[in-house]
Amino acid sequence: MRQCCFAVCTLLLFAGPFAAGAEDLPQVTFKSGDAVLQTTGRDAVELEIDSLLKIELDREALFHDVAALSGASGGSELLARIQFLERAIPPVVLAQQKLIETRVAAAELSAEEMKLQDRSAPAAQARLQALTARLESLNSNLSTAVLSALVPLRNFRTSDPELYKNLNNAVLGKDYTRLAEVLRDRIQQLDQDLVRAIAEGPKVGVLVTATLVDSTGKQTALHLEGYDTIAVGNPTPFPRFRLAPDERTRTELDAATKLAPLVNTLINERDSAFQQAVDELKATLKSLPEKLGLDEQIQSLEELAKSLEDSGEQALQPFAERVRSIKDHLASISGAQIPDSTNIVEVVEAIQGLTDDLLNLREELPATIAQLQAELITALGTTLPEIATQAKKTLGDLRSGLLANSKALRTFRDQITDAIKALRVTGELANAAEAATRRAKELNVGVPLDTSLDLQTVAAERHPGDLLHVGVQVEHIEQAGGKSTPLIQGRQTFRLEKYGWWAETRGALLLVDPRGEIERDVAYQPVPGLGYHWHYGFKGRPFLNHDLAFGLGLSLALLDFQDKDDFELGIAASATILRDIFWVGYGRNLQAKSNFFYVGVNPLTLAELFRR
Amino acid sequence: MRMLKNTLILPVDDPDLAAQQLGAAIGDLHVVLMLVFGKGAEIEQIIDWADQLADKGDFGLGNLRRVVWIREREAGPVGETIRGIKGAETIDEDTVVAVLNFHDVIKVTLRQGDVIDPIELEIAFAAGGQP
Repeated sequence: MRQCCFAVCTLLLFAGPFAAGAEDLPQVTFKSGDAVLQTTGRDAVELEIDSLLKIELDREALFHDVAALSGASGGSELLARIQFLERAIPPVVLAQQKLIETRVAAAELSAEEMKLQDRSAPAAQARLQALTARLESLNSNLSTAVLSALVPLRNFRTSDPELYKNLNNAVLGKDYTRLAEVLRDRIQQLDQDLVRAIAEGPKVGVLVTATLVDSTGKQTALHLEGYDTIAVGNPTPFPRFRLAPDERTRTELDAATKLAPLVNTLINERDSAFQQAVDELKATLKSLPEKLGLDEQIQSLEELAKSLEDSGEQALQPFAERVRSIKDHLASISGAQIPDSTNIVEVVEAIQGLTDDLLNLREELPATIAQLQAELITALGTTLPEIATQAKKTLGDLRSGLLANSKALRTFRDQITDAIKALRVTGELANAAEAATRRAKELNVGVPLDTSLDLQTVAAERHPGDLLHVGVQVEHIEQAGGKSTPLIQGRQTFRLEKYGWWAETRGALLLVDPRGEIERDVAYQPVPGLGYHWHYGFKGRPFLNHDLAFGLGLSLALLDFQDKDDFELGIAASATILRDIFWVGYGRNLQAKSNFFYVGVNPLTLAELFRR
Repeated sequence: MRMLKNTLILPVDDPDLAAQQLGAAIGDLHVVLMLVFGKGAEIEQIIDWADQLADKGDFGLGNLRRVVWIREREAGPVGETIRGIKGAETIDEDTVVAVLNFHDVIKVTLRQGDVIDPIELEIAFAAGGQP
């Protein structure tokens, strides 16, 4: 069955060029070792009989030709989607960056309000006005960035109504985070789309076969790595198409590969505008303790705790611990470590903890301080008036300061929280792009189309002059399991050559004529002979090598010159011509001790000559 | 309709008060103002979207976006106030949405027959927020 299959495939391959017009194989390079063989279409090309024939297919050219012939060139829906993402990501990242800048400016403005307790002072007024103007200016920039991000989305109203619906819902969110999330989801979906494109999308099938044809016309299929399978115990190669994604699918994968570098350039590079916005956010957070006067508060709390410890009163020791607990909370804000990293996830995690501390500062700390103050004053009574005064001032100032700044603190925290949301979703966008690019690279591993044929190890007898046919067939498969259309067929023939001296043993029918005195009356006696002949292979001389094909050597013949010997062996110097068809020689009968002359013919190769 | 946080609904039974409120809203130089004209379910939907979108102008220090719902544009004093806006010649009876920038100049109008959805409204707000 397999042999039949191979025969049919081979027949088709060989018939193809002649049925549909012979096609050269410009997309295929043949090499003997590292030397490129100059192929010329149908003309047989010399190939050294023991060489390693490398068959290299120019994938790009081949797939381009297939795309042109199949009409599958140009864009696809998936490619359009990837290209849209490529275009959409920069304005969306820009909008997120402007949003972060605006939120940071708003946070800075609220932090400034905390610092400037007396807002009626001229300097404070001027500072606040400048910050307000900056906020409005940043908001204008944000509007411009939002416009550039949103206007292209209109295209989806008709091209992808489902996505447009999601975008419409997302844009109604409090900020632009949900919009970026829709984009992020789209990039994540790419992962599945790419896998599906590879599994179900159009493919190009490539088949390469090699067949050895000897001087008798016998054909032997040869094994080509990757293009056939050989069942155990069965030396017959079974042809197999190699399937690879077509040019359009590979264009889709190439486009997806560009996403991560694009996002990295926009987001992760140290000198990018986005990182500068992140730096502004970090700077605002770092300046917060100074604006809140936290270091002075921490110092006052430490002094109060120490006074309570130094009082020697056991009952006051727990109060010292409670004061230190409040101090530690302030210290955690004051000493918060904000990483200098460009890794957005890392930055977000660090800042997130700080915003939780800020929430606690505003929501819980004033009540905690009030309770501590009341209980401490009661415990102190009238015994330690100095500490009581210190406690009232330290705790009272801290609490009233927090309450006075409650609104500004809330605004600050809200703006920072929203900036973090923008930062996080942008980081997720970058991660999604990274994942899509990674997947595209994984899937874009080209199926190797090159193969080779080591003539020294082929499972067939080979002789100089034998022909080696290499056939290539390329077909386009519209979808997985779908119809395949042969588009490119061609073949190249090689003639095996052995250069220099080489020897071969062949048989022949010899007509032996004695040239001395013998008992019997013999003339041109027909006997079987065996010859061992040397030939010389010239480069680029096929007529000399395979048509005239001179040979020189020795031959043995079983003779019958006299009756008394049952066994007579003749040894002769021998010459052949025309691929060992015609023989001539002169030798001696060792038993009859008589010389002889002979002419001979090899009937098998003679018949072959007529067949050719 | 959900509760409106950022929308001023002009009264229909007191044209003078409506005109006064509209004038005050236009006079606020720190907001991008979206005027929505008319009545009916479609207009209510637009008002609902616009009110949500106005949240994007809130940076904790006063909202930079605001919506005014003008149900009766023909009412005399309100009409006069509208005609006093820079670029008012672009507003006619088919106008559904008009957006004024920080300098009270009409930047965008959306008319009956135009696609009016959240994205278009956000684009209009953003256009109004440009320098």
